[in-house]
Amino acid sequence: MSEESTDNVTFQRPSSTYENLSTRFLQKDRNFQRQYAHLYAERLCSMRPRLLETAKRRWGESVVMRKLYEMKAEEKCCIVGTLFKSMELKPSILKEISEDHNLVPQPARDKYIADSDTLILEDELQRIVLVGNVDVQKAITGVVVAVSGHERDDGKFEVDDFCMADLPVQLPPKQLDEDRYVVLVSGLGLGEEGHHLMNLQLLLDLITGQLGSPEEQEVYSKVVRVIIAGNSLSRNTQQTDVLSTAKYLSRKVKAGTVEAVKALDDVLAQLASCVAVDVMPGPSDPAFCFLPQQPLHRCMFPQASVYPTMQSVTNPYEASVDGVRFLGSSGQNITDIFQYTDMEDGIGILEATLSANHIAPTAPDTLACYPYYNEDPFIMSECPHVYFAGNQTKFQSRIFKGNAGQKVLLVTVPRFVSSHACVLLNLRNLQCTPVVFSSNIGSE
Amino acid sequence: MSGKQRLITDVFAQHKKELSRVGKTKVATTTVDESVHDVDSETAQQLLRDKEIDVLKQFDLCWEYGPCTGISRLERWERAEKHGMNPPDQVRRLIMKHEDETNYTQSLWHDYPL
Repeated sequence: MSEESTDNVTFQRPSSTYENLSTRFLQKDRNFQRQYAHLYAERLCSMRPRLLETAKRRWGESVVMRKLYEMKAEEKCCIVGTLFKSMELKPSILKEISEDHNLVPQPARDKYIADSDTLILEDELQRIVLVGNVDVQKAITGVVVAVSGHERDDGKFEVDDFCMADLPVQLPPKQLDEDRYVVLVSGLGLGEEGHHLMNLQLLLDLITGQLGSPEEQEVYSKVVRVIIAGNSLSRNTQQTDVLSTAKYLSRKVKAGTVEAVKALDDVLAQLASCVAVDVMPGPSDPAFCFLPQQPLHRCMFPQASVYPTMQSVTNPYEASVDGVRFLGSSGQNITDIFQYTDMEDGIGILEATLSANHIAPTAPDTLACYPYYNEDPFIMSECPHVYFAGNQTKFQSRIFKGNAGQKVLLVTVPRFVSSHACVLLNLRNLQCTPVVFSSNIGSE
Repeated sequence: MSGKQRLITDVFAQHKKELSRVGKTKVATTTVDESVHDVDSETAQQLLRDKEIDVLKQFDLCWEYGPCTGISRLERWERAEKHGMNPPDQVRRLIMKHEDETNYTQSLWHDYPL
């Protein structure tokens, strides 16, 4: 103890190079007149050359490439198209309207999969039912794939093999000679009832260097950036009942988000005074729900926004920190796929989206997204080093190895409000560890 | 059923009438003080116009360039160009020449609600 008080060590926080690579997610115009057909056409067009390349490498140069309308019966060929999973249980607005008269609304389920689901491949003009060597329940709607096989007599396509595009080229990460960390945290859940802020305060104090032994302080002084991956506010702050009550009744009611945003401003101000902070919006934050979610407005954070270190960013978010390329979302893409496949694991779904080269393949089918017509910003055009998803049930991490030697660290970041954990990621060797805060103070 | 059908034919009829009316009024005003020669040039221009519109319609109907509703012809042309599909340059020139006319800039289905 005496040693600590006499020996005042100060740790200097290292500076890091940073580049925001998310400009493609920023909304340039707001035109909702268009249909989503453009997005699918664009996706197929952009992915086709990449898939043709992969298909030729996998099945040989001599493989016959066909579009669906050129296909001849019983001829072995390869087709590039977009997957669509036809699902009986999928919630549909049309079904709800037609059943409006006499039936109860469809029950909300964890998963909407059923044995009767069929897989369909679509190209520009036609669609065909896929059978054979494909796992229907592992397939994700909206993914562009190449299938090899032949058309059967009954008009279905017998799949022998299928593949997805190779990952794009990955630039080698810069070699750092010292440890530097990035903290990933998501689901702070401010405004949640019975949420004790003690754990959050511990996290803040640890990062800002007001807590822990000198050894711990030394580690946390090397945190160069904190990425908050969505749902900083609890879902409870979104009072949807206000929408259905009369205006004169709710006139004097303060919106539930106001207090929570103030609390978030406090949190961000503490962090931003010491370290660079990126705030991504999530599904329960005060932002539009469709992807890509636009940055939360700075005016919501009067205290924090005075710091140049505080940055409000898009969701999905891509950035390079010290040469390490981060790409990630607040997790709605993963949660959505979870509902429509039999994959249980957040990390498995994350890996599936990475191998599909697409951050949110289920948009626009079951996930709201902007009707793009001349670009699909969710396609990965460069391979990230770290690919993360926020607001997952538990922390998991895995190294994904691409065919051309790409190495991608997959991380699912747990909800802080339920797990009290954040993820500490070392930029030098791309190793990540969860840090769990638990305290009994404040809870009975 | 019959009500709906009438609506569609109405749209078609209106569209055609508008076009021809514009032509006729122009012809009428010019014939008052100008010679017969100008009437001929007016009809010739109308013919050229029809031909140009036809080229643009053919571009709209070409499925290779992707869906055409909801976006302008130029936007569609540029998207096709981006993907290296070599859309006809004539189409772009026509659109650029008549930048203020929706007949030229917007797709065939522009007048129909989505």
